[in-house]
Amino acid sequence: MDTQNTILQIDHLKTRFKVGKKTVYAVNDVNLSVARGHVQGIVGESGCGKSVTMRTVLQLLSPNAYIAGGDILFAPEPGGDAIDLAKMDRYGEEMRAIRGQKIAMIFQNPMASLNPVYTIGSQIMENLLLHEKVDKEEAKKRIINLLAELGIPEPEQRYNEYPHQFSGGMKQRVMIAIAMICNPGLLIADEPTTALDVTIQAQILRLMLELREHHGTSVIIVTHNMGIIAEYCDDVAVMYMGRVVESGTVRQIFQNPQHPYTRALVRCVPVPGMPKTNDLETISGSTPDASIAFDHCEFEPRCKFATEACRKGFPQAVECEPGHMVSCFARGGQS
Amino acid sequence: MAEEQSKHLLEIKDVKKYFPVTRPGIMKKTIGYVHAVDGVNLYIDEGETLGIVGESGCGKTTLGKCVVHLYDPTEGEISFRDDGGSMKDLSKLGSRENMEMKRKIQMVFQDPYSAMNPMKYIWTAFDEALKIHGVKERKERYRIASEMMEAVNLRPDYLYRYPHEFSGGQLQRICIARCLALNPKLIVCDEPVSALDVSVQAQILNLMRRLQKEYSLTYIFIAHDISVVEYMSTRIAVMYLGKIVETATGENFSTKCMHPYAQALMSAIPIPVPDAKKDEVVLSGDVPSPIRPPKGCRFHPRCRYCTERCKTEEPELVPVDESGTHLVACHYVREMLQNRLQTAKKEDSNAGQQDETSAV
Ligand SMILES: Nc1ncnc2c1ncn2[C@@H]1O[C@H](COP(=O)(O)OP(=O)(O)O)[C@@H](O)[C@H]1O
Ligand SMILES: Nc1ncnc2c1ncn2[C@@H]1O[C@H](COP(=O)(O)OP(=O)(O)O)[C@@H](O)[C@H]1O
Ligand code: SF4
Ligand SMILES: [Mg+2]
Ligand SMILES: [Mg+2]
Repeated sequence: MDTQNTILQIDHLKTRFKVGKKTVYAVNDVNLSVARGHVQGIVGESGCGKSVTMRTVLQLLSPNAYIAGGDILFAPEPGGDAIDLAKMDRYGEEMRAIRGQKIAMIFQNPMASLNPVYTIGSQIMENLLLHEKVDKEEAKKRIINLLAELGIPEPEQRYNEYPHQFSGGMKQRVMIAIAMICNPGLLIADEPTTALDVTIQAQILRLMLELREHHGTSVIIVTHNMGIIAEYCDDVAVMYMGRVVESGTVRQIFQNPQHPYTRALVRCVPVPGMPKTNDLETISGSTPDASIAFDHCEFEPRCKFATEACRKGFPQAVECEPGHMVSCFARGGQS
Repeated sequence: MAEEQSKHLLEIKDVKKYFPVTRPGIMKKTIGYVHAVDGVNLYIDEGETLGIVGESGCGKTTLGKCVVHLYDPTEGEISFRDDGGSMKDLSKLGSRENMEMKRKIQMVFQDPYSAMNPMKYIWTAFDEALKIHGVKERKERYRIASEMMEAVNLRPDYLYRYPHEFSGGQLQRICIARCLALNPKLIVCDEPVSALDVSVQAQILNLMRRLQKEYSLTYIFIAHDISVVEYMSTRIAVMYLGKIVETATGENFSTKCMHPYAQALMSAIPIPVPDAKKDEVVLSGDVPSPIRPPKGCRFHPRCRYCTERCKTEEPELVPVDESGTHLVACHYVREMLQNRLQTAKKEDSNAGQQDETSAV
């Protein structure tokens, strides 16, 4: 792995859940490489395994979940060594040192992640003191500076206030403050704005671009919104049923989509100014049950281009132009 | 003017809907009002789709519920054209007429699961609705229900299934079918695709457009995604804190809108086109509380053009084009129009010069 330019590389990752006698095949074969200092988008319809993939990176998994294979190579320093997060004990010392300090994560619902009985200042302080030895005065100064940088007005006063005194957008800023206080190299944002209004969403997403600018943070944005991908990301990975089926730069994916699923995704959303006489492209059927293991391409039942090969195995990724990977038999893939 | 008015299917005049805010305790004392809808004027022509956009809490759903008569407006009048062609105030109808009007105006909700009884076959939803509206024979009710299921591309035997057996997209199609069964003229669609995945969203939007043609329907289409609203609507209204701040035809709405809020909203909505050229208007702050909406122009605390006048005097909706269909509520709309004309002229003359130089 080229740790100079890559901060995170996921290879053949599989994560499963045991639910009674059933197995849920949530992540089936995820291959993904996140470039250092880039904003990486991950897009796909609900249930395709975006959140589970990201939680696996930090091993923030429920007890019935297990990693069935694969590597998660993380390189905190450019040019330095990469460590395999998938091989770490999820409750161990090493993993705790990475979680919240080197890699931070924010979630869709900021209300659920904040403790209502503590001031927001003390909640940010908690994460800082967990990872760094700083005296309290120094820590408080750093927190107030960060709150100001994140656009929270009157930060000295807000420091002593409780979550319920913050609006939804302001709560999400507090979550970003908790995530950013140790200056992590990688920030994972799982649908960070889905619960917010669009004008607030724009504020939060622009804030993430600023963090990248000022601190060099690499950012992963998980979303189901193609607009957010087009407007805020550099690179994008498209997921379907626990697999990355296509990845590349945002321009490559929007202007030259190769996988039939990506093509449909790009064309089924209306864009301003499109002729109203055209029907939107649709995908027939719906996503299959994740508790049934596939022995061939998961998209085959809904695919217009499926051939005999598609019913026999899984297509491996091929590079169709530099940096643009696609996994599809109809696009030159082989099993 | 008289000729134009005869096209209106629905008219909304100065409609207000306030919800009392009570102090908790035994003595429920009203301590204020949520000004959910606060003086809305709109009309809808037959066969058109009126899109309503705005952020959550601005009163879109409340307005929709007033239109379908689920709420009585606190003030104002909503009138609907009857078969004879005259406008009837919905709040002043006799009970028979009232039932008839209720049948003609239907609503589709954002969450189809909460619109259906989870304990009953979906057939029951059709059966009850048709019974209320006077279809006496069971056989006839079943025939209509089956026909409507087919119209939304579902098998009639699905009628004997429970809501949870369907995906969100399928159940939304069933909700649409139930509306259609009553043979309505107007359907208020309240964020019908917001909870759905994009590929399913496309199926529903295509279906709604086809049904509109087949059954001569008029839609009010409420959403917060401007790309979707622009694609669906013949005319668009932008709402902010209980008021309409701008309306215009749907063609290129996102580039031609003029109200500072409408522009900021358009700029905030991400568009699925990489490198799309957009004016960057970042709005600071949150939407103020509708319990005590700001004085003057409601948008003034967040507006970058705000002056003293905006803080005290409320702007009216005024026409900015010759046809009078493009209305904007902002004190400085004339100046903005002037600016836009000047920029357009400059671009024209620049283009002209380039033409000349290339000709030489
Ligand atoms: N704790 C869990 N137990 C069992 N199945 C789960 C659990 N969490 C997620 N899943 C399943 O894993 C699959 C992927 O889910 P998720 O990653 O949350 O999807 P996305 O974030 O793309 O919407 C889904 O089928 C989901 O039902
Ligand atoms: N039944 C109700 N009782 C009290 N307040 C309400 C009620 N319904 C809506 N509201 C309030 O009215 C305002 C407008 O709500 P709504 O019409 O649902 O907005 P939108 O659909 O645009 O999100 C909000 O502030 C909301 O909290
Ligand atoms: S009236 Fe004033 S405050 Fe309101 S939108 Fe226009 S310029 Fe802004
Ligand atoms: Mg998720
Ligand atoms: Mg609503």
